[in-house]
Amino acid sequence: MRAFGVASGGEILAEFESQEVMMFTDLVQQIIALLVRVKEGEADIDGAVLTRLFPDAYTDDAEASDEFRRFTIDDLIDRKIENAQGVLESFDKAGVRATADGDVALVRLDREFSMYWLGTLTDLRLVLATNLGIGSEAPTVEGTDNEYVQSLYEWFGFTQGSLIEALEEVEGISG
Amino acid sequence: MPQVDELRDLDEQLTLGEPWNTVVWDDPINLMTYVAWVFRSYFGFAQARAEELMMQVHTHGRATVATGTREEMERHVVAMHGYGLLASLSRSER
Repeated sequence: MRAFGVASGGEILAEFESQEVMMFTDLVQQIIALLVRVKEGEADIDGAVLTRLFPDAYTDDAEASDEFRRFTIDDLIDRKIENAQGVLESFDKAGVRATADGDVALVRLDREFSMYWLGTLTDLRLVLATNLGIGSEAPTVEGTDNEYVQSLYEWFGFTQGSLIEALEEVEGISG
Repeated sequence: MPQVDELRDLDEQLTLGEPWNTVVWDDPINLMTYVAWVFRSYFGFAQARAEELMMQVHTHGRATVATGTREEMERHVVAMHGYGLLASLSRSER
């Protein structure tokens, strides 16, 4: 993947190599599975990931924050799953371009699907960062795993950054 | 002379009328351009205002992005959580 660009008709485009598509869609499916487990109230979910995806709404009142979370979490989960499914759908609808190095997927996004992407890229980065110990206490991955997760985190950051630039270009905002 | 219960009711009514703030906190994960984009697309701020608030979050660790009733601020906080931003609500300091 290089970066998102804007086509002459205002459509936002990016090309992904097939192994990038596999890695990306696999992680998106993992996020969906994680969210479904949270919704079903399964207990074995990393607390740091949970509180980063669903933060405290009251910084000085744990009880009020827990209550707030109880009332809002189902809708938030549904929205996050909808975003993730939108990302998977845009890969399903992607065009294929044959190159000397193999097929690449040509992803086209309108504004609605760009929103899905920004949401899911954020969720992926929040989960990966929490595993790396960014913005929280101790990393849960170490050694070569840590390097791999770090590279994914940076790749998703690059992807999201280029998508925002493309959106700003469409909206006529110079960065 | 009013009963204690009535006084408490009155106190609650007065408290409900007090403004609340939606506060967005700095986090080391979300891209600065993303935070500005959220402020622009959700609150409808102009680019300059969105960037100003984003820089305030970045340099001061937090920024008040909206003020109003508790209910309204709760809706904003849920929306910010939906975007993956760290946000909370608190009573306005007078």
